Amino acid sequence: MADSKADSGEIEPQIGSETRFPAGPKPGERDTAFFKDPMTDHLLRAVVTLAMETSVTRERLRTLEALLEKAGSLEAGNADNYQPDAAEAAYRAGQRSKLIDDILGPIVSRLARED
Amino acid sequence: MTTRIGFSPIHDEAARQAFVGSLKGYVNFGVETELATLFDQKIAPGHRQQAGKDIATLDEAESALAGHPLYALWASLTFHSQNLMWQSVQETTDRTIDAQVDRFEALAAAPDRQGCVSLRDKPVVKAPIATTEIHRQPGGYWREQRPNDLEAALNYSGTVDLYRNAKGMGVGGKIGSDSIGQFVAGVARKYAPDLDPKTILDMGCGTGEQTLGYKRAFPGAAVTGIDCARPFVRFAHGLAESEGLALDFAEMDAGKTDFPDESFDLIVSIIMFHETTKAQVGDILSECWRLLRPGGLVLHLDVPYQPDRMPLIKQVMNHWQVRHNGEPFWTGFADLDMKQEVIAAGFDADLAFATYEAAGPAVYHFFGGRKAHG
Repeated sequence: MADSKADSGEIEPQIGSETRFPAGPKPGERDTAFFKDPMTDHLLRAVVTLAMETSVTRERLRTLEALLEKAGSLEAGNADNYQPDAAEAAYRAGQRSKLIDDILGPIVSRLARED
Repeated sequence: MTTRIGFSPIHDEAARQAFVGSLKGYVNFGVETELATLFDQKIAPGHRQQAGKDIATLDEAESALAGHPLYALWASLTFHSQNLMWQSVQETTDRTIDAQVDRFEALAAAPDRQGCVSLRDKPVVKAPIATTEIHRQPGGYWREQRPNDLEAALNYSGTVDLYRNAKGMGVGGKIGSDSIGQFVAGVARKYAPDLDPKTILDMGCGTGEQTLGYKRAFPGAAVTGIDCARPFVRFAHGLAESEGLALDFAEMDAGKTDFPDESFDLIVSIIMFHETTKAQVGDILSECWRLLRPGGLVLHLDVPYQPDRMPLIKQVMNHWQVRHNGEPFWTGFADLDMKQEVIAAGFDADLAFATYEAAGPAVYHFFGGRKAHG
């Protein structure tokens, strides 16, 4: 039996001069468009990504409510009247900005490359 | 501390991956069915009326569909769902990769380890794997970004779970994760009921999940998995050690291994051939013949996309996957007569086969052969 640790240990410089690790194949296109107007593709994808995040959020809320209900710590109206403190409010603002950037950023950067 | 090698999403990651799985299900079944209906009921009859003859070739079918917005929608959603899939698994991998590498290093160095892993000084990977992002996986199968990297394999493993969960198989766990390996083991027993393999070779073992299935199906056999992508070989070794199973893994080119002649009683692979070039098919099958012991069985599983089995509309969609979605070799593989390839590699014509077997609703292409007792 081979010495696993020794065999798996050091990686020598190989492929790609700027890295000491194997570089992998050349990256392919990630935003190929198929409609006549590429904007249709980009908007379609933005909507799908948005739907995904909505789906994740819904699942998260259901999980939290189920856990809170199980623990007996959620009363009707608690969430409706909740006021975030300054740190929580700032966190939420950051998350909102990220979500918007996630949805619109790919379109903006794609169109920015147009002549 | 992480105790096992494997893909382990937390709540929101799992929800995101589940959405991608559902989206892919919708596109692959719902939208594809709509597209097939459109083709059969409107586009094909329209062509017949206009041209005075039926659509007969892939080229004609593609031309007839080109520009139709439903075809564009299917293409755009298929393309985007693939992007989302890799993005969604990357999130889990980024969060867990350091702990996974630590765990791999601990398992590979453990004095009580069950099997071994053997890696080369330099990667053996060559084109097309070396030059193509198969499945459009960022970095392909073999990019490494850190010592003892597992990233490519973790991501790949995450997508397998994603598909599995989308189909309602093994949700939230690893139940049935070696089911294809178990299926191949069952076909091996059916095709060679007299064979009690003492040594088994799994070519293109990938993450090793199915390789473990062979060890479970034939506990007395020495099982070896080989792959040309190093992150996968490490992952497979770590997975086997996590499961306490004794298997060996090595970084090797299936067309040119280091094993002596007649080393294995059973040689298998799962969806490896459609990710090789036509030229490598001959090399790999010749190597199988060299490595097989008298009385042994070679049994390869791959996609059942041979053109004579598929309606034109499905051929159009597959050809699109070849051009746009990281499946560059489906078409080349599907055009080969694998029984003839097996015979050309040295197998006796009456002991070679190319067949189809069903596993539930799925059908797979099997090919290989036996070697007569000496």
